[in-house]
Amino acid sequence: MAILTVKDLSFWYPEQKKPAIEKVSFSVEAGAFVTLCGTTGCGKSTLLRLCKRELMPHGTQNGSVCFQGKPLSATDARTAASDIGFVAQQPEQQIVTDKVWHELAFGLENLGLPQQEIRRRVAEMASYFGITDWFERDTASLSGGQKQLLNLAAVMIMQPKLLLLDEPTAQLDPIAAGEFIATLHQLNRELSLTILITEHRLEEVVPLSDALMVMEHGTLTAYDSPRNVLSAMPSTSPLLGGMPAAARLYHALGAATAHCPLTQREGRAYLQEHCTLPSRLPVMPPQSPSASAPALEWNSVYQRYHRNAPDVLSDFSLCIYEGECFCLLGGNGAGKSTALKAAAGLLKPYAGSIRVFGKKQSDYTNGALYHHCLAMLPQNVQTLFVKNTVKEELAEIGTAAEAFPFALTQWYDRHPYDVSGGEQQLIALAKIMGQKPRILLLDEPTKGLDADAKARLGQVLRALQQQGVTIVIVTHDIAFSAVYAQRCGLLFRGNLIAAESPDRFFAGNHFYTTAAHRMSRGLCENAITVEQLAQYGRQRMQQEDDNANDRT
Amino acid sequence: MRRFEQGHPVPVAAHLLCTALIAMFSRDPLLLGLALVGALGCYWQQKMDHKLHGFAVLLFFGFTLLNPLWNQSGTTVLFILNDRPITLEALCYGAVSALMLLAVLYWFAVFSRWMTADRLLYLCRRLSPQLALTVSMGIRQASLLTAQLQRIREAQMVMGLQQEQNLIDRMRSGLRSFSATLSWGLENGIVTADSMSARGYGIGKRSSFSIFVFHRKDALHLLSVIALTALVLLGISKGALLDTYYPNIQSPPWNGYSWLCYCAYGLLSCYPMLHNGKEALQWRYLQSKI
Repeated sequence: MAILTVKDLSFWYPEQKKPAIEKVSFSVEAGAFVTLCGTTGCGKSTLLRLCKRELMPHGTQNGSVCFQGKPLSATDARTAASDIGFVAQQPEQQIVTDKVWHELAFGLENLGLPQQEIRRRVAEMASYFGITDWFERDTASLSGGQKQLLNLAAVMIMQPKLLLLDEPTAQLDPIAAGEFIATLHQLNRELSLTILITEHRLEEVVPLSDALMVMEHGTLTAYDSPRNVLSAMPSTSPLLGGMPAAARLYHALGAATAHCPLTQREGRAYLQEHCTLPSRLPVMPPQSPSASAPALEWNSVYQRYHRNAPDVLSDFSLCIYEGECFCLLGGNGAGKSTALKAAAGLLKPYAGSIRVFGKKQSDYTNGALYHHCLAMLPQNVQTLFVKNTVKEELAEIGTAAEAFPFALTQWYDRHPYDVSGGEQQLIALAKIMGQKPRILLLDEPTKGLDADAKARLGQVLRALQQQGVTIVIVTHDIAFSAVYAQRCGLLFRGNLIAAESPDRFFAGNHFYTTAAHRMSRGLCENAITVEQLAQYGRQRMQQEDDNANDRT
Repeated sequence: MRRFEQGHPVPVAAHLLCTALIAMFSRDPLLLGLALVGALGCYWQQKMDHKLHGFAVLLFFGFTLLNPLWNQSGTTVLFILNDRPITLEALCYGAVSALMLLAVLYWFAVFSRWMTADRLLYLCRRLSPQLALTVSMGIRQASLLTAQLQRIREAQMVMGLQQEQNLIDRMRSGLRSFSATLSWGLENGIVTADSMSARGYGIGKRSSFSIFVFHRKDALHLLSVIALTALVLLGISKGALLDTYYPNIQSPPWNGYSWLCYCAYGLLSCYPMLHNGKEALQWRYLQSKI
């Protein structure tokens, strides 16, 4: 029985000639886990919002959306609110009240349920989700993962039959994201909850889905089981960038078999059966440390936020050389952002010193540290925007937009909040480049970006590096740092562990490493990206073809 | 172990109200002394801010000494200062008023610690459940906006635009940050509004939920508070308290009603302290058996 049926749905935003969604038709079976993917701006969010009556955007709509056989516009208010649930991207802003228990009870209060009923459902939900430990806390004191879990529980407490999720893990770190997806999987399997989820981070979601929907430029181009969709996808499709590593590997090696591997385990099996790889890839020799002058140094830095709290940074020492791109990795709350803020002069560590180009931070007076020296891109890039158009933003800091290695003229007349996340990132980066910094500090630049935007950002950073800028990135994104960093370091318990080139860093790790390395460990040492595996795998296959041809 | 303040909000609020109101409207030194003792006991158990003590002492001496300067009624003159007679009655009245202020100050400090936002809202929700929700949301948005303002100021500082030199520049920077926070708040308020309407806000009459359950112990507390207050009021109505200072201090006769009044008020005032103490002892005993 189809729980959601969409027929010939087209939607135009007000004063737009081109439809955001064009003649989309599909139906979702009850109890299915469907993932919807596509590039930014393809209409995924619009489609999701059109399935939830209270969140429908303004505009012209043709076609119909039916929930459980009845058109959505004809469903009564209570059913529309409680039977369809919606979880959005931002964990922080979705929370309405200041206490966790009140947030859980909010939806049921809206429905006017009696006190006893609410009490029972709240107790049940809190127990199921494991929220009992933080039940009486303030919502402001929760971590990002806990907040998003609270949002999910607050929606699930209304006992919906269909759950719509719009990029719920975009703002979460990888571990919290994994836990969230696992909770969704559990809900689907145990409660037969129909789930329709939009995601960019497809590595975990695709193997769990029953069906994969692909949207391009407002139309639905594929709707089938994930294996079929990925096997049939052309190898040059731009969507492959966001797909699981095993699928990307399959296409990069030429799609030899009919079935595409989805998980890393299947990818490893695929490599073993269909690909002969050299047993070891060459590794670049380590860059000699005295080749360049030190640009930024932390010397035995100690920092903590409260007098009686444990140290966030404990004897942290790191030296970044001029012209290199360094990625600082580590778990949530490991102190990476703290180290960056201390370098930017926002925090003063209680012990230790930080030197910028050999001079102590206190030697830079009158804000000289921020002119032609250092610049930081914060985690939340919207904090940099104060004007009404992008043109004014860039003009404010006197940036020469031509010097920036990316054309921003297309967005000059838009409000900075109206562009997508990836575009905001680039505008903010252009803005801070106006200070002509020689060191660029980036705090989680790839948060919430799709594969395309990440690649664009990476290219811009490479171009800036060639102009001589030293780049320090704090990130959770292992795949990004494997491709774009010269050196990687792991921050653990306030201490730096292992600052080496990505080849050595990831090849030396067993768990904290890229998907490509996990798939190829033991088969081909020192391979850390899908591109490397593809390059050497293809070479081998080419050699074998040549050998076979020579023999005949 | 369940402390007094962890119970249902109604008995806690009733106790605080009765104790503070009786203290506010009386000028009997012994009664006020008992009120102060009870408040200090509760304050001590909470381990709160010690700067209040300094302020309290200042207040006491200030009031005691100011009253004779303004008020010249009273018959026993101690000495003349600048043509103003300083009378004993005025001094005593000043001292007792100051004592009343101290007692009420400490009780309100305890009140602000015990009655957190959600407890206060629970009491107000009978009046208006909508108000309770609005205040709860207001508290949440306030903390969100202040956190964002701090982040914006940091970002502005690192851009080199936060000038700290003179007042004009600082005001300008402050205004920029404020304007950016406002834009951010409006933009992200839409997400909150969507989240609310997605969960059915506004489709009908809202009910109200609270995690506070009225246990038997809470009923016991409430009854005790009401009974003790009734006894104190009985004693007051029979004139057991000292309330006349001008023109002469007239202390009322010490009879059964005085005993009743003072003992009842003493118990009322020290009720939370005694209850918590008893619970702690009981817990120690139970713990030793585990």
